Amino acid sequence: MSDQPVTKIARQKIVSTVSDPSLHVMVELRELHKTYESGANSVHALRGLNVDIPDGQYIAIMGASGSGKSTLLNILGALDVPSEGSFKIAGRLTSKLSRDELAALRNEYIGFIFQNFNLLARSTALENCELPMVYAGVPTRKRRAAALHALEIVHLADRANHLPSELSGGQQQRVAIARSLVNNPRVLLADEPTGNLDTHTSSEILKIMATLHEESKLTIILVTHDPGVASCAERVIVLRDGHIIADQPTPRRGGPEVPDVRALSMAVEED
Amino acid sequence: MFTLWIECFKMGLRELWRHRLRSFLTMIGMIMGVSVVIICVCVVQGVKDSLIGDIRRAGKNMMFVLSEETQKGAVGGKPTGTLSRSDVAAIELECDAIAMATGVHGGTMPIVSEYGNTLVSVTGANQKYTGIRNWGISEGRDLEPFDIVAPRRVALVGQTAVRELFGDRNPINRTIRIGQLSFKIAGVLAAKGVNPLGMDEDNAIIIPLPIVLRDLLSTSEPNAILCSATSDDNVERAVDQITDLLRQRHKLGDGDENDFKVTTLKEKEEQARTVSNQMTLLMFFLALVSLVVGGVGIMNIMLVSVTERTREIGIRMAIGASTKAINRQFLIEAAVISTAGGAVGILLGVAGAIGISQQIGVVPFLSPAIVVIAFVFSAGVGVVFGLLPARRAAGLNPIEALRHD
Repeated sequence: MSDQPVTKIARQKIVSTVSDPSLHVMVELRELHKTYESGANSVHALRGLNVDIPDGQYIAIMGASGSGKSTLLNILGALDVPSEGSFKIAGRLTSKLSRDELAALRNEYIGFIFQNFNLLARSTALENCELPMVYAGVPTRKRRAAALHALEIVHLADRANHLPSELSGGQQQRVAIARSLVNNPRVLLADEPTGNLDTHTSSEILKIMATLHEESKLTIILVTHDPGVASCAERVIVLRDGHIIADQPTPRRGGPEVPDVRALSMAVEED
Repeated sequence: MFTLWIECFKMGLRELWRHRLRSFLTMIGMIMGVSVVIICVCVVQGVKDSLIGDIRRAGKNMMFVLSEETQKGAVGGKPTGTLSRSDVAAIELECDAIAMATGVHGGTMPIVSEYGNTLVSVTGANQKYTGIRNWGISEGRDLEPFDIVAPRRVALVGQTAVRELFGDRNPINRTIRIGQLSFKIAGVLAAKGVNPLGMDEDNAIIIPLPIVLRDLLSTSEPNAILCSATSDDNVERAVDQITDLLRQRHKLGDGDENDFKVTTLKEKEEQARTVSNQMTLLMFFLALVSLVVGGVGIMNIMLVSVTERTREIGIRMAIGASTKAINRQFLIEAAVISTAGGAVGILLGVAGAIGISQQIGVVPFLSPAIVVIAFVFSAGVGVVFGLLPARRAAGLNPIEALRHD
């Protein structure tokens, strides 16, 4: 325990997750556990999380690899369901839903932004943006208009007919953002959205997300390990070994410095 | 949900177009299978139709009664038959299922005209012969009862014989000679073509039976009787009536064998039908095998495609594709490959059937039903063999699929 950033964080009092009742809660986690059974061993990835995310909040989730961050992301994205406890998004409980009901929920409530963009390589920007609406059953003409509008929001309307391979990384990520918006989701879930981008492009993407938060009052959940990126949010949650070890406002909301989870993980290994 | 179908269809088409070569190679199995089936069915059925047509053209509900003795054809001495002219009269009079009957006798004989000479098959018969054989008169007149009763030395001449004997000249009322006898040509028979045995039916001359018997063959009775049943349905009854009548007239006891034999064209028609239907059935089995092979090819390539596109499937699932949508997308792709293969196969098959039929000189049997069946069948193959890959795609775990490279 040399530099002691760990103890410093650990000593931080965890803010009560039961928020102000006057706020409308968009995402609610209660005693959330996730256990993976793999043969004889079972991995306890999440160990009882309690979080409320109010509507319109911009929140960053941080954690080193192995902290349970990816597991939480899968549950927040309704790609997976908790083993115990509950996850509610916009009042809907995911635990009892079937595969197809989860798919419909993702389609309607959640916009995904991935680190590696995850655009369909052989479809144009416009077609990529149309895809969520295809599965929502939106008629062709309306779909086209909405997709074009979404591309305008990210200033890419002029590249509508380009394939992802003909676009730069930043442009691809902007297409992905446009795609995440077309079904008017309640929550935008961004998984390391700037992880594959250079500093300049990263700030461009973060600016777009900030704009979406401020102007459209979107709830944004940003998963990252970069304290610089996390400080764009209003609130930070830090995970370690399946526990929340910090839940605090970011400096721009009067909170303390965002901890550097990279240093944190190294420190943990030294323990 | 109709839009989803259309979208899945569009996506499927686009995906196949992107892998043009692969799609085409996958289709080849279907193309071959379907085209071979179509060729075989069309040609075999065409051959059958042409055979049956030939048989029908030989005569109208025709049957012939042969004397067993003449069939055996005693070597050397004169064959003696068991049939008589009175049998002919009796058949016509007493069998109500028989419309017409005539005794026949004849053989191939040298014919001489003022312009040439040739060997022609000469048949002695009565005026009903052309009716029974369903044989028209193209020029002049048919034989009349008084030609037979008199009998007059008149002749009906077939097209080939006319050409050999008179070239382009009008043969009506000209004279031909058979042995020592002169005959006046009363009429020219319509063209009949080649019979199923490959013999030229038009190289024929028909003259009154009494003249053949008395003057050319020096015998008294016909060696065969040609009859025509009143209708197609009555052929079997007619056979029974003739058999009963002749057994009675020939005074055959219960234990005695028939001394004559009744043959119908229906039997031959039935044979042609059976053989071609068996062939068709065999083709269907071969077709089934090749369609299964084609289907397995499709299944294989679709499984490869699912593995290749795992990440794409993950992305689609993440943004809200239901298992149904993914399932449908791959199912449609498989169906499109097989249906397109089937369509190409149909085109090739029809073209091939026409080509081969022309080569062997039959009219191919082309019906919309075959095309529709082939089309539906090939679509079905795609659906059936697409089920497994589509299920595999739809069953992928979205989290793992997203992580897949």
